Amino acid sequence: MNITIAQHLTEQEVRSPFLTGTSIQFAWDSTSLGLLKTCPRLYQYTMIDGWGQRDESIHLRFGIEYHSALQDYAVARASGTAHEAAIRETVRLLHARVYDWLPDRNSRAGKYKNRETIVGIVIDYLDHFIDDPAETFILDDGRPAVELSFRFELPWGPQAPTKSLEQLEDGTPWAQPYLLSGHLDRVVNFADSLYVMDRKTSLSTLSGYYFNQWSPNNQMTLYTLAGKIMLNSPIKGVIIDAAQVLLEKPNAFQRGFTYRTDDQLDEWLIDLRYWLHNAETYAVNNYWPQNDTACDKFGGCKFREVCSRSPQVREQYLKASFDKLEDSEKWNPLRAR
Amino acid sequence: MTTDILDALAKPPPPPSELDELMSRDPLDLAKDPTAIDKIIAYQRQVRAQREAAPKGRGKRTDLIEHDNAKPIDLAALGLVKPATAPKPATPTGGGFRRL
Repeated sequence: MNITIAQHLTEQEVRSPFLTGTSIQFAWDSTSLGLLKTCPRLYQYTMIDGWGQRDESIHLRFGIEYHSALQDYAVARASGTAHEAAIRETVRLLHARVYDWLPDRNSRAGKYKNRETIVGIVIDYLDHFIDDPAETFILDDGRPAVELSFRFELPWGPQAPTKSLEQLEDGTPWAQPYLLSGHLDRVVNFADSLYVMDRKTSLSTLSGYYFNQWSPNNQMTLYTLAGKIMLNSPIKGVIIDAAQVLLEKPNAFQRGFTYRTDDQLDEWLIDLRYWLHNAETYAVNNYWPQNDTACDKFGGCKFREVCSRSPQVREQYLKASFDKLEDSEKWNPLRAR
Repeated sequence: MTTDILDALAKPPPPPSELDELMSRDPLDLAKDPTAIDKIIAYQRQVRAQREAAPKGRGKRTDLIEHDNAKPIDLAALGLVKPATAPKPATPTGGGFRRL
């Protein structure tokens, strides 16, 4: 399958991921694709309508600060700075970003994720992996392979409503091909093999049950594929670099491996054609059906209370429990980090 | 305002610590104290060491008496032995279901 690497991500203006004047999404990342695969209605409420929840911003902010801090440390170390000095610089930058961050500590999210716990887990992580056996891959230009944004085109694009999936094979030139985008936290060399490393912060125990969720997994398969394409190197899979935020016990860190073969990547791309075709069909018909077998997954869908109501009153429940985001605030796979 | 259904069941958040006080300072003020960043790092390392040194698990449950496995369990003392009683004759068409 031919895949083209799109232009480097330097553009200032963020494009809409949807074809102009439609709800047909042409630019996808693991988040939006995961929403679609989980439940088209969940995808509609989040990506199309832009309903968001207050608590989400706490988790999102915590994740962003965690990734930024570890990136700061990696950049400092790559430039030859010693461990202690690199931690000091990392904490200084982190402090400047979060000193006025005041999430509601009476909420579960804010109790575990705030300026105090973020600096704590960053320091603990960096001390824990002071002699990290996973070495950051160094790019050809000398930069460490951390926080790499990727974007590549697929050899087909949205064609609804005029063509069937079989007709998509006829070589039609696409005015706008599909794009896949995302961010790789880190690419590492571990035991003479290359892996994408994906960092996760969690409130859950880092058990075998936690790590089993990553295979099969939409995000990790996409990241393996993206790593292979962007680095043009054999990537074995993804190392899940998980951190558990704890308040009374020491923060916990565990790593798990998830592997992907070339055949698995090909299968994922074949499946993707069907998923994106479905997404087009939903958009053209302006209807995204419920997957009512997914409502109890991952601790229960945040829209479960809404979807359990009669259709006529759902809008009221959405307005009562969620904030409707402006277009510029909605999740956008084309927005660079 | 809280949004999580678990919030009502959760323990209240711990009171702000010295670390939180340091993290709340304005960056310009913090820059005046050349040791402030080192204090943040040292505080977190101290907290971590204390947590690592704390006993793991729930600890001994002192309200329970440990059983000596060499001795048989006294079921009577636990109130688990019932006096033998003669079975009542079954009523063939009483209120229950009848097995065919």
